Amino acid sequence: MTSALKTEYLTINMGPQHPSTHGVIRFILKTDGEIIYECDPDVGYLHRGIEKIAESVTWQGFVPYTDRVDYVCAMNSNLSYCMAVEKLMGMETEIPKRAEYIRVIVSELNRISSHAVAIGAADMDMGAFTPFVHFLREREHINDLLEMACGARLTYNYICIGGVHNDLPPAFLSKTAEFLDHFEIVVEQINRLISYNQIFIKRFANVAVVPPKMAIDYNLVGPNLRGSGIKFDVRKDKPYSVYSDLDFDIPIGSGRAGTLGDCYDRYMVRVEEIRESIKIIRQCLKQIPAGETKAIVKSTIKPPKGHVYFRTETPRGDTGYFLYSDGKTSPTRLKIRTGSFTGMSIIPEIARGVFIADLVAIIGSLDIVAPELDR
Amino acid sequence: MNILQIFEQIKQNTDAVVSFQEDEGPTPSIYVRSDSVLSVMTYLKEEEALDFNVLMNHTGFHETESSKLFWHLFFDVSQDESEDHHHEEIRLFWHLYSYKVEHRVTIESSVPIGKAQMDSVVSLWKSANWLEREVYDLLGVTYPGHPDLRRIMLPPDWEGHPLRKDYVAPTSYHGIDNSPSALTKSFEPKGKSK
Amino acid sequence: MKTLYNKFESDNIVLTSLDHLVNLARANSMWYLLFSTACCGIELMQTGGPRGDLERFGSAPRAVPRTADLMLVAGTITLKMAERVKILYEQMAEPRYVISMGSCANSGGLFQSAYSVLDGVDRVIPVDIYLPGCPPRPEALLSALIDLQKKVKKEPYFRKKK
Ligand code: SF4
Repeated sequence: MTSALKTEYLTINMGPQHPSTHGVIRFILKTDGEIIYECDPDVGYLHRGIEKIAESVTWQGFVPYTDRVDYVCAMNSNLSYCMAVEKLMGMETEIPKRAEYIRVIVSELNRISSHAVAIGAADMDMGAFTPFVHFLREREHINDLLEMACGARLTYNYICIGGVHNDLPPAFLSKTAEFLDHFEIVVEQINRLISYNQIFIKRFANVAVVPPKMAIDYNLVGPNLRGSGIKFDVRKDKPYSVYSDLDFDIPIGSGRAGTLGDCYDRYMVRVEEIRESIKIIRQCLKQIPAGETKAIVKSTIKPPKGHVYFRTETPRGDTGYFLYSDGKTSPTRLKIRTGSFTGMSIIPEIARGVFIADLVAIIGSLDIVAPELDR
Repeated sequence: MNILQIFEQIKQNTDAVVSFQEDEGPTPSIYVRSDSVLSVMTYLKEEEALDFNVLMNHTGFHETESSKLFWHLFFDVSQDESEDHHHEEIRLFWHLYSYKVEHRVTIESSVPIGKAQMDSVVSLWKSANWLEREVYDLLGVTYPGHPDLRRIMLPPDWEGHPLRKDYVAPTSYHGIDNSPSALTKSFEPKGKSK
Repeated sequence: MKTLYNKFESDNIVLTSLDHLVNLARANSMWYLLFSTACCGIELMQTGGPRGDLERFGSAPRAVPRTADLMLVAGTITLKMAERVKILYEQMAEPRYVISMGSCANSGGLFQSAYSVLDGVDRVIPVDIYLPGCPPRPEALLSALIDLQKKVKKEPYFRKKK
């Protein structure tokens, strides 16, 4: 009997309001039953025109906006932007040593909290709600610490051009050390709770494999790139701030539960990066010198004419700030190339042929944050 | 390899019109005339010793400077003279990096605003796909050879390209009023409105 | 209710107005729609977490607008998103409430001058409570919820609205 059954693809819409798309991202899926045949991400639901706003605010006035570019790790965004401007002004060497150490401590703390959300959200998307709540609880401790330093819980505006706004309160360092001792145990607990859980591994291993070559071609950055086995970290390979004085490893994916570059590898790279961050902060707490926390910077700066593309390692990977200055009080052009942007652009390629339920795993493992993607 | 050596390499091995721009801040760039961008990029990617395997960033901006840029003195730009806005142009930047050789380079080019067209490099790097869509969306540069050139950030029926300096923001969209409220207006300096 | 608990020998009658009884139930089961667009969404998450614990006020997150009573607009609404917000709101069953959380949802906030941002969600849907802050602290969100509960308790439900 010849097959007279007529089949056709079904187009379904996922998002923008969807509990597991991490904000407002929309996918238009063409499916063949449960299997995705074609996936077209529709981004831009949170395009806030930050790059246009930058053209009308002063150089310093843009720092609060960088908080909102990536709110899960606002300190890191602050740091990227401020260092880019400092580089443009040629004043990288003038930043006091204490300020550099404070910057590293707060941004690594923020990296821990960002990875905590990333891991927790990935778990939650897989249906494991408990680890996420555990991470929210731990995150409150980090929020408390950062609130102690600068007075805000989420949008810090703490790092400024030339250093940091104010010195750390006296109790900060000892409280941080206490927190690290406590958190190191929690990471192990959560690993036992979820990361080594067979059901979880079954959902994540061998899904959406990104071979190293594809990762480079699509310019994946940060943990997503390292998950594919490429040992590259801006902190290590192109060190900025005081990272060259610190000793830490770069965890990379090794296909520990399946294939190299699958969702589980990307996930585990983040877990291990938390441990490395703890190591970095411990060293900083030991080495931090006394002294000034801010270089002398004029209240309105006018960087000389020219352009710079500066890269730093934020939790979502190598974030590049492209600045073009005309020697005026505000940037002529500011462009932010972020990790989520490239992470999202690979989805049409790797989502082909997976189950619809696995698309959620892919988004979770790539750690996509909508405003960073859309800006 | 530093940027000067890369520049020499390009000059010797391709017949592209290039110039070196060093007084442009901390990262000097190589200026390539718009018609030879694709050949230079292909060379940069395929040459064994250079091996630029990543396109980190691609962006551009609208230059409204009424005076001609300095490199116009060196190159023949007569074909652009007939254009209305020959002094206005869109400057484009590509930032390349190599994981193998661990060096980077900034390539620069420009297109006149009346004829904003640039060769697509999607065939060389897949990451160019979305980056070029973004430049098209926000700046209005078209890329012949791009597989899927549509708006990415803004809805498909949006008018204008917001990052152009002469762009005026819409006051309503699909019947949703978005003009500033009376309260907002009262805070604004006189003579300025959205 | 607690004072009456275990006090009676046999079946009994309590006199109260029906409105009051229904409103009590409504106010203490304000299920909210999971709708976080931007930074404020993270604070919403934290409020739902162990320290803030929104659920002790009877507020549970819902993923589907059909089963939600409350829409917490947490974050920036762009023009591209504005129409969807309206659709989501229309999908919710009456009576429905809206808390606009954060400066962005109130008025556009920091992004008021941007070309693609809606200057306040009240341009597309009616708002019951405006909550200022960028982002508002979890305590502020809890207090907004309590204020909304007060408002709900006063509402005529069966009586004719004047
Ligand atoms: S009000 Fe502030 S914190 Fe909230 S979404 Fe807007 S910018 Fe983000």
